[in-house]
Amino acid sequence: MSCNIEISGLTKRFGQNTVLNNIDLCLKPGERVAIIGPSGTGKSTLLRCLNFLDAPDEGRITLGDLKVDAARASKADILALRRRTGFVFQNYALFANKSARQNIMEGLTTVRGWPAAKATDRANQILTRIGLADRGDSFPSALSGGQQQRVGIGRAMALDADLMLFDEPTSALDPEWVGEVLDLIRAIADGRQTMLIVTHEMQFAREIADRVVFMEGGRIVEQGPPDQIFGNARDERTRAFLRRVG
Amino acid sequence: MRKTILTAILALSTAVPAAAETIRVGMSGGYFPFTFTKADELQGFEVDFLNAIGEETGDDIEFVTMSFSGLIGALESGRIDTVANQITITPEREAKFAFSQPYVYDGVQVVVKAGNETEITGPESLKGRSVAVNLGSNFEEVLRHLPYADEIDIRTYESNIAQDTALGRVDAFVMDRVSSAQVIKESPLPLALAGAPFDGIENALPFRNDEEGKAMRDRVNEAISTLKENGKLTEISEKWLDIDVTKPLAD
Amino acid sequence: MNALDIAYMWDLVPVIAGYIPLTLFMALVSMVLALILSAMLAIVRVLKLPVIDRGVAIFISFFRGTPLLVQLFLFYYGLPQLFSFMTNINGVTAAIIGLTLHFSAYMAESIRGAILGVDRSQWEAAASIGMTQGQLLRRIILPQAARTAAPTLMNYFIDMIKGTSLAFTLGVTEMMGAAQKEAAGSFLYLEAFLVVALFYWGIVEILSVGQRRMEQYLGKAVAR
Repeated sequence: MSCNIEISGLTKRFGQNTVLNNIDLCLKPGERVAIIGPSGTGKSTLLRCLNFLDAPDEGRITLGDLKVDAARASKADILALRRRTGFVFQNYALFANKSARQNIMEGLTTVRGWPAAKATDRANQILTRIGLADRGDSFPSALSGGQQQRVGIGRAMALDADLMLFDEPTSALDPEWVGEVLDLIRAIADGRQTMLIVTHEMQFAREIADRVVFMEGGRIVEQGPPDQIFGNARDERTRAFLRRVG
Repeated sequence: MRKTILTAILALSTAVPAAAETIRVGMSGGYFPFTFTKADELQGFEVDFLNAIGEETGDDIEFVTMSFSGLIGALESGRIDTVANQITITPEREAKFAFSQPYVYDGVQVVVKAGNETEITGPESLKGRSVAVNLGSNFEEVLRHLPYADEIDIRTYESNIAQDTALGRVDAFVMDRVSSAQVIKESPLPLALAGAPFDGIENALPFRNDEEGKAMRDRVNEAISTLKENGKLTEISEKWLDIDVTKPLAD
Repeated sequence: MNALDIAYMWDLVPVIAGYIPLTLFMALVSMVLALILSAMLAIVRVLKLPVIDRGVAIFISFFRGTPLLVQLFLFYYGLPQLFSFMTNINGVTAAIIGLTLHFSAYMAESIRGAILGVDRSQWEAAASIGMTQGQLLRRIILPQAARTAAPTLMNYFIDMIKGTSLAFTLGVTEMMGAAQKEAAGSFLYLEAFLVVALFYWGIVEILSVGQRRMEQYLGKAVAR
């Protein structure tokens, strides 16, 4: 199978600092890719650039028939890209003025223009899937960290995205909530949702990913199947990193 | 809701009279006994006078009350056609407006807190003292033209000059004789006339100095003449002031 | 001086009360218009829209930097000398426009502060699901900013109610104008102004109760 999501030459600079340096990455339909690497190495920036939360300076992003040239992205390109990618934030970032159900529905009613009844049905299905069928009316402030992140994932799921982006989805959570969030992501991964996940949970990455990408200094150093990266990395930098975190 | 507010705004903005048959008369509503309200009803010398003019000319009279300081601006900007608020004819105002013939002849009067009238006996006694005048009235000009004006502490007020004099915040106020006498008679404030009136003044209706204003002025002038001849004006004066102030002072 | 003339004050109550609707009408219409205008001004400032941002900054600076009374006089008596059609704007409309412009300058700054106070992640989350800038402002950012700004905006509404007392300078007899005219006839200034002061105070107190209720309600909906 060939790639239907392709990133080529993606570069992002903050002032003098090149945070992403000519990134090439290709995802096949249903492929689950984990990105690992030291902090401050551009992993989150890569995800944010794919969603134009940070605007990349150069490169191309291809999502099926949608081709976006980073240097010349129009507003319409950016909106289209965002509507076809779901983003899960490290700090959940739920809409504080909306209930759990409304958080999930918002993209359907406002962005896709679904009628409220249809969006409510869909939101209720998602609430059941994320195990919060009884908490639909709760506001974010009344939910635990784990519950909030599950709603955050539910909000991204509602978009039926071609690609889901998880930006360190468990690193802001208290340890007791990490398990339930990982379980949910695992369930989504089992459904063969194409996803890119930035994580520090090495065991989890090894378990769910079809491929693991190791990044350092704004570049992709090495990538391959989990067993190869975790068991038999070729690059010394990868091995050094894994020794530190393992 | 939105619709009712819109309708209300439209109704308000179309309520502005445009017909030539209406004379819009501005007054402060705060100058007893010329213009004031009792139980929300506008009344006074000026009100009766203008209504009598309307009866003569056949025009509708529309009264617009606003702060005294806004009256001249309203006249200049064409929001009202004249001001009935005991406006005194001065050379400056004559240069700017088309005045009707005078309908009140009066004098400038010093008024003090009761008991002080032995000490303050006229304009000369105002040296070194504080004196209140209404903002926009001509009495400030009168005081400033006194040879010893520099020695008088002139304070301009938006309203309530009688109140502040009675409270002792200022030593005196200066107003026309007629209304001064009325204030003392009618109000519970402890006030007294200080000496005799010291400057003859003539009050009239100012109109805008353009074709339309002058035409209206001429129409009103005719009516005033009639009211003077048939005794109606004297009647109004005596009703509100007990005396006739509508005839020129004998020199 | 004599004691308060209570009977006279009692007689004035219905007179002054008759002007409450006009006072509230001017304040309410001005408030609604000022909310809309100030939100737009605040958005221009927050998004730093080119060119108009500069104009809005000057607008806000002018209307915050000059007294309301001066603005009303300029607008009602001054400008018509340049633009004769403005003579057709009556006192109530002029007062509403004046109050709207004046208070929207203040309110824009409050709303701008409240918008900037909304966490950056709320903008990003809304953008990430594909909302346009207009959608995310309307659906996510402004509702949250409104909650922060609500107590301040309510205070401006109270100021606005009191500000309507300046409309008498534009020939609009409202509560204060009515009291002045009544006092002129009776010379019972203390009584007349006391009655009108009690009316303003009463209206503001009723609103303050509403304000506290609203804050409790909003506090429940989004505890942070």
